[in-house]
Amino acid sequence: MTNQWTSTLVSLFAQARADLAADRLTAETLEALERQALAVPGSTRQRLLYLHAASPNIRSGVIAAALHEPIPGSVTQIDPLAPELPYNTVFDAILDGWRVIHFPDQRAPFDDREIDIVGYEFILEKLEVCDAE
Amino acid sequence: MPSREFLLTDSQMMDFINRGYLLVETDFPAGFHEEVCARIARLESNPGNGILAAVPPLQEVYDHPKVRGALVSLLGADMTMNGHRHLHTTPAQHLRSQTWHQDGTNVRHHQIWTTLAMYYPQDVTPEMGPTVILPGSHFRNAPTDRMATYANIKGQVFLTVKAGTVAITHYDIWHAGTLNRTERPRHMLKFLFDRQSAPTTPGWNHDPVEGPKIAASRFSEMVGPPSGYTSDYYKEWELRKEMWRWMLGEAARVPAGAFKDMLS
Repeated sequence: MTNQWTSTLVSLFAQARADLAADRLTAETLEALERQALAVPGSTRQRLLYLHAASPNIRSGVIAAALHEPIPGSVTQIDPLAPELPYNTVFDAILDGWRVIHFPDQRAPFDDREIDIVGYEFILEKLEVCDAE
Repeated sequence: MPSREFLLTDSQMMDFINRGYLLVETDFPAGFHEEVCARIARLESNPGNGILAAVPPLQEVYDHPKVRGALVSLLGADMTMNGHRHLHTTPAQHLRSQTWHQDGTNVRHHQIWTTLAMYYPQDVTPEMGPTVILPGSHFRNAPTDRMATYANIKGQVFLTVKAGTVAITHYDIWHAGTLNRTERPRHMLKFLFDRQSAPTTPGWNHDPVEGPKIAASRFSEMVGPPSGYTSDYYKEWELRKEMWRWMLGEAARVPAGAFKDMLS
């Protein structure tokens, strides 16, 4: 997944600022900027990141992760060649721009003897502009 | 009954109780495992429970003294091979992992009534789709549907093993097959073994003096999620003690055989 539209826009703004500072800003530069700004891509897509933390606290250690890229054919699975988990804590993911959209339920059923699933599930998202396909 | 030299030690029993698995390396002569693979390659279809009749050398694997010694230690001298067994082949370039699961349905306990015994006739590399297991998860009673959002989990172990290895696991351990990136199939033979009666005495090389000290020193090993103290910490610790005591022959808190009845 790329965000070509955004990076191109940022680049054109940078060029325009530089030209303005150098007193050489032209109509052509402004027109290129305008074309890019108006060429808003058709949609954004939701990247999803499931992080399972050791407790409902966002600063507790992450013990499992699953990233879902909104690309046709993408796969999210157990992978023996995968690198380390992407973040140590949910808080670290937030610092990297992820938004938490699901928090674990603190009042989930509790058994003081038995154990069941591993960790507490947080779901995070990033909305990113997609190139037209 | 295998010679006592092949029974597990107290330390090995604690390995199994804590982690839910043991790896046993056999010492068959060169060519044995290749012959098994060759026979598998000649099969026209997967024979299901008929795999033992279709590939008779498999019996030798499960009769190997080290394998039997471990199984008898865990399941008692009268343990039996279950009628269910299966050849699990991950085809070449099969690029999908299974999801995490426990076998069977969720009637769990903290005893050892059934083990999986997974034999690998090939060296298994990370690229070939090794079985993945989550040590310690055999104490967890988790419906498979609730595992569907996990991918890689910290502490998971990929069974990248030498040809001839038999991975003996608690029936309840979380596991999955993984993707095979190579150009050849990966085979795993899964057999099950059953305990016939609850233990009344330790069935392994138990030292009544040193064994309890070893166990006490290891109950807290690898307990809980890898970071910090959580509710699971003390519960895991207690469940391990319960399994150890049951294996020594002490009374069970869960009706003996509850899970075994489900399998029959």
